[in-house]
Amino acid sequence: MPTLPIVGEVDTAVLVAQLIFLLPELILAVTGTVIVAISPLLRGRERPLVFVAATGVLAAFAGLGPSVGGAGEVLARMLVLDGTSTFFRPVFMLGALIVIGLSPDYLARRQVPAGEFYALVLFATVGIMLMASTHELLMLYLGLELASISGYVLAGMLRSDARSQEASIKLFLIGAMGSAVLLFGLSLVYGITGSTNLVEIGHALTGGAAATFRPALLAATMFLVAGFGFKMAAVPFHMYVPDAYEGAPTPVAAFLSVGLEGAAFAAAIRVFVTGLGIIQPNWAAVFAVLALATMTLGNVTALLQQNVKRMMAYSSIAQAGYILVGLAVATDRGISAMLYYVLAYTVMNLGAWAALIYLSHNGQSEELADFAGLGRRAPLVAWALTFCFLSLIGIPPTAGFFGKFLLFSAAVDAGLFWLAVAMAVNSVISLGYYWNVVRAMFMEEPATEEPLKASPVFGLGFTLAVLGTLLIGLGAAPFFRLVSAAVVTLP
Amino acid sequence: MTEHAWLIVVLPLVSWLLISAFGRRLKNEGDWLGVVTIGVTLVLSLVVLWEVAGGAATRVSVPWLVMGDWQLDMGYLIDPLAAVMLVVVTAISFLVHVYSMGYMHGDARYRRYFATLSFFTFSMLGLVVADNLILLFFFFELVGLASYLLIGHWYENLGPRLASLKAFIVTRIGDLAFLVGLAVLVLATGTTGIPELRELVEHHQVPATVLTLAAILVFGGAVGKSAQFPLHVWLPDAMEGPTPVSALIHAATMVAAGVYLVARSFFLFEPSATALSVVAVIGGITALLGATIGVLQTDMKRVMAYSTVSQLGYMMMALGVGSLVAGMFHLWTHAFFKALLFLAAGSVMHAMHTMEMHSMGGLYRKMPVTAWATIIGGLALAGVWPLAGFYSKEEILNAAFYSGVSGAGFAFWAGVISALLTAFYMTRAVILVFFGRPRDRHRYEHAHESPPVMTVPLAILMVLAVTAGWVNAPISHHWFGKLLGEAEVHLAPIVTVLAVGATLLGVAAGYAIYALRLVDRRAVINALRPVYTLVRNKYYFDELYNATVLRGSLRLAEWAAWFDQRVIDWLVNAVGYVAVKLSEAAGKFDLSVVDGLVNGAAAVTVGAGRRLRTIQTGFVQTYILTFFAALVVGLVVFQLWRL
Repeated sequence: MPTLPIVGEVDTAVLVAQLIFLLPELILAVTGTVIVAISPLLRGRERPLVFVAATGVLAAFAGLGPSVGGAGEVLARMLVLDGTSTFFRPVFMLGALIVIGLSPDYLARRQVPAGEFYALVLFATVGIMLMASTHELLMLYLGLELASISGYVLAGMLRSDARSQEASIKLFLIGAMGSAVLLFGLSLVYGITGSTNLVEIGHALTGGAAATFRPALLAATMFLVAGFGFKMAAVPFHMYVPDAYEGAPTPVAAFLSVGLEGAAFAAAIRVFVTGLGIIQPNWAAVFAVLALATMTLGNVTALLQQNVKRMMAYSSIAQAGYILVGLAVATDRGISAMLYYVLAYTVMNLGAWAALIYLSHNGQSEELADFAGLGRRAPLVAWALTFCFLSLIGIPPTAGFFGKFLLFSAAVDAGLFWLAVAMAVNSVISLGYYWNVVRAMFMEEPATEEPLKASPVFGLGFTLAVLGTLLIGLGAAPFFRLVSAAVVTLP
Repeated sequence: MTEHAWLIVVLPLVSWLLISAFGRRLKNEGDWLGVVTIGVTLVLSLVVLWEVAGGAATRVSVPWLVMGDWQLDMGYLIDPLAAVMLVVVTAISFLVHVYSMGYMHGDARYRRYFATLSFFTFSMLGLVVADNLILLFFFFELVGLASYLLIGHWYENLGPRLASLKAFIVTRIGDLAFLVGLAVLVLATGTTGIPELRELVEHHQVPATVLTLAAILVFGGAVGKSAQFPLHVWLPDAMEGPTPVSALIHAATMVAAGVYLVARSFFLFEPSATALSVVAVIGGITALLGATIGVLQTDMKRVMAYSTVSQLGYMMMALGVGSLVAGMFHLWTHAFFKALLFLAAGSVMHAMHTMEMHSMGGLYRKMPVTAWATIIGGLALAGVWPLAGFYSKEEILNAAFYSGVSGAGFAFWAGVISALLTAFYMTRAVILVFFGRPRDRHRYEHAHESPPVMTVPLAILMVLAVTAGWVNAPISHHWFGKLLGEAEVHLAPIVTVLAVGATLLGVAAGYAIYALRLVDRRAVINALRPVYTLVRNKYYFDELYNATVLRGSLRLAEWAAWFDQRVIDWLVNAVGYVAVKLSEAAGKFDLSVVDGLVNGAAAVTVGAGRRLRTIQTGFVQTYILTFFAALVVGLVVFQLWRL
């Protein structure tokens, strides 16, 4: 049985030197801590903190420098530097950066303590980045918990709003259970293979453990599917999502829908492909079923929503269904398509949420009726939202189109023709509810002509998301190369 | 010029952006910018046609997206087919732009209208020159979007709103087929470039069954866009848009995009007898369907709309019986005389503020130019010698007559009968609108001829409606046919006799019933009551689709919501109850057995299950129970499922 790597066996000097690879996470964590420390000194004038938080994320981007090109497991095998982590770390930071940019007006309007908000977003980002960049089950779990617990608190930050409290408590109760199931699955895997390192788990399983412990391994796989499925918002583990997103502060819902879901996909790629690759046909089949159920239920239920925020929650479920196709295919093309889609989803979904945040910080609610006449009251926002919707539907030349196209062709390539057809049919269904909002914006009369406002910082965040959706679509070629290089190969 | 043909596409794009961005500050909200730009593209297109007629051809392609061993290119292909289409699109678009300056004068969204018109022209021209099918598909979608925006231009009213939505959704059904067809082609050949595909097909590199499948699926896109049976239902409703838009998009150009698509990918159809038959039969059905419904419409624009459906059927039919030249020739002539008819109808609308033919009458005295425009357009449409429609219709009927494709016989007779009906309903429309005594005195008093900005385009189109057919007549030595690569023209005297006879009979019948009143209309209607009801209600297609597709999808959505709320909840409760009982039993049976699964599930479900019984709205518990129900089912299935 292979022994666990012990910190003591590693040269301390080497360890300290290797901290440089952890620079982005360290910078984010330190920035978060600094924000927490100085926010009481600001006595309520916390608006400038947005710049501190954004600067922290930008510095963290720069901190990626030493990690690029580095390969292998470092820091006592806790952190892995490979194509996947090189891809996901900046993607998650980009998501965090956009969310931070979109938030200040909302926080001011709804009297959310900005310091705590930014700090928690940064901590959660550290968590999701770690989830995507480790081969170590314990590290993965810690990252997950760091992100999840930050998420629970974030969801409840509207302290005088009962629905926000409800969202928080629901996320917490169900999240705790999801984590427990995941942890149970992980512990079964450890029991079977005697290792917590995914590469070694893979070796142990191919070395005969998979055959010996087959029933236990299948059970463990199912627990892991359920645990990850919960974080990915996959049907039937999705039920908390609409309530939680509807109640949570809008920027938080936006952040959860891209950050936490994205990280769950990243971690699932590592666990299933790298660790459990030997029983790939089994889990791939389950993911195919989940993908079908998730996209179909998400889209069909979204059709009937009158509240756009709740509609977006179902939309994010449906989008998770598309991404799951990548795991159902589980070929190199499937996984790289999935990476591309997570990137596209991050920008296009945040772009769409941005419009909701915009309405919300102008004192409107998120009912469909509030979108009436937005095309006249705020043409830029309305057009940008339309564009992001086109991308979410998958109409060229947006990022969403190429994402769907890659997933689609990967599925066809792998012989999962029915799943490809289901994707196509689903994207037609989704036209219905996205277009409903567009119709309201451009073809209905506004209830009031009261002007809508946003700060330049919000504008920057919004621009970043929309421009990203455009550029990742129009100039897709370099991103294709990036994701092909980043793919984790099946053993 | 040919090698710089991209300019023709880019100019309207620039115009669109400029009008959208700065129109507010420009004189007349920037309408002149659109007119000038399209005028320039018209000149450029004519130059291109001139050069292409002299043997020039070009193809430029640049890599756009590279994905592993597969790449998507972006480029343009100028050949005789594209050159002809460029001229059609820019010419009609130019005239409609000019006309719109009068027709849309004072409209609340004048600037948006002109911007969208430019956007449409850009998309349509892009579609024409696209050198691969994926790029063509992009523009196919964009013209659909432009059509949607323009049909719904007056979106304050319910009619345009519903019509625009209907057009968008119905055509997307066809687009889906087109997209799947593209996927089939890419999988089979690895390319979507039009010349590359043609090369592969001509060298028999593509299996016949694949070819047939791909051709029929691509044809699906054409069925949607060109309003062919059974997706023809959107086009008549699209008449809710401004009339110049109907002329440009829903008569002359965009609806012909489906015909153009089939012509562009004709090499896919040619080797497949099955695909050709499908096209011919669908075309024939559509021609008959449109013509019969057109006979009983009382709204002038709707008569034109069904006439367009019918004529598009003619074009498809021509392609289906294997004659690309006949199809494209009819597209060419039809664009001019149908645009003329629509613009004339717009002129009537402008004067009368209604399209109901039974409230018109005697307008000839008030608006002679418009009346002549309608008469000439009508004669050209009916196929009276020597007007444009005569030559193209004769060419189609001859092609059908000589064709060996199965279904060509049906197409031929459908064509002859439709020719009769066409002549009849045009005669009827002209008499009802322009002759007899005015039926609505009030409206008649206020009617007046339209301003020159509208009548000049009418005059130009009148000339074209007369002469456009001559390009493929003995007088020009069948220049058009030779340009598009047709070697020999066979004309059977019997076909000419039948066609002319049908036309004359139609005109005579119309004249007898509506002008001379030799036959009592009521008596005929009463005698044919069941047929009348069926056709008057447009064969109940809308009702059929409402009852099946529309209601079906709504039901599905409602059912899914109900299922989520009721059945899943109920299942969860049931599973929860069983789980509680089981875990209680298990707990009693052996407390010391450490089993993570049972204990974990039981611990939560016991608590949750108890609460469920007391609190009806135990939502969190429901969620947790669902989670575990799914997990348990998954665990069991997974163990039994051998992969």
